[in-house]
Amino acid sequence: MALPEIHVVAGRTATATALGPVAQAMRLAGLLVPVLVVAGADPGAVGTAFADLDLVADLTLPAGPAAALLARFDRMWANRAPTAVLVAGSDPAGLSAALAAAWRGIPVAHLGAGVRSDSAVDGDEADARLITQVARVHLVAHPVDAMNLLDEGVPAGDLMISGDDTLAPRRAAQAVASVAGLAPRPAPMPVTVPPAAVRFGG
Amino acid sequence: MDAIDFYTDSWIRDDRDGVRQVLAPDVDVEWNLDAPVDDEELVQTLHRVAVFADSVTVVAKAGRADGAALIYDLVAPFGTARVAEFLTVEDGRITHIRQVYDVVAIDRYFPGLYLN
Repeated sequence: MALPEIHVVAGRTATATALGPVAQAMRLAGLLVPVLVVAGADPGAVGTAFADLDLVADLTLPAGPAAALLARFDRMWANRAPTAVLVAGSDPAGLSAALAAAWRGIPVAHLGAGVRSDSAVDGDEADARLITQVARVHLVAHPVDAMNLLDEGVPAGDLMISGDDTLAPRRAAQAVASVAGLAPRPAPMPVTVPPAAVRFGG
Repeated sequence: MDAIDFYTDSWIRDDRDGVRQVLAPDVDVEWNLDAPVDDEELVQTLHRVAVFADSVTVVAKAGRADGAALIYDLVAPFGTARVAEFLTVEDGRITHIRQVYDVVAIDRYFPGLYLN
């Protein structure tokens, strides 16, 4: 039986750099097939970012306006629906993918969720907040990112502090597998508070 | 003009009767705002957006035979809030609406939009 596909969507080089190690961890675990989907204004650069990690993009959506991406993802998934979709950060292509997936009832996992600058003019952050609203699982690097999401009403059970250490991609991959019902939810990374942070009056 | 275009055109122009006309009598409405919603609350909320916003723009749309997904930018005097909307159509009437708001931006730029 074929393994379930997870579509890993990158529209920017930074997104590809963040998602690549998680895709590699998925492959190593052997539970899922990560399908690398390149979209956005400069697919060539995103493909190169994957190639720098010894990964090859599996699907490339034609470059075009962001407004067209929502329909393109929907058409693609009409014929080839993945078990889940993984997006990252505040990538506009990730927003289109997340919304198209949510419309089809495909679970969305969001890597690098909860990063907030609270800037009133940050359009990228607005995209990230909207991804938050449709994601099934939120993979955050730091506890403060989790706090941001809790403040926005995200249920605590949907959060996973995957950390930013060398094991973070494995934790994220397992969390994605759990969304697909193929693995138990990984134990959250232990949070240690530096002694200086709890010192009073000092 | 199909039901989706009629609906979006109506609410953006603050035509509440037009919106009511295209909603099925048993339309199912859900949203992520911290308030209960039914068809009339939806109509009133869209009315408040339409009158308060400087502009409302459909920035992306994906259509199918039985519905559409849309992304709107709601431009208010001090900033923009983004909303996604998923619509299902049957027999020319909208039977299901799911609205997904950027709740942080809505609370910031559209204060008092909904009562909770």
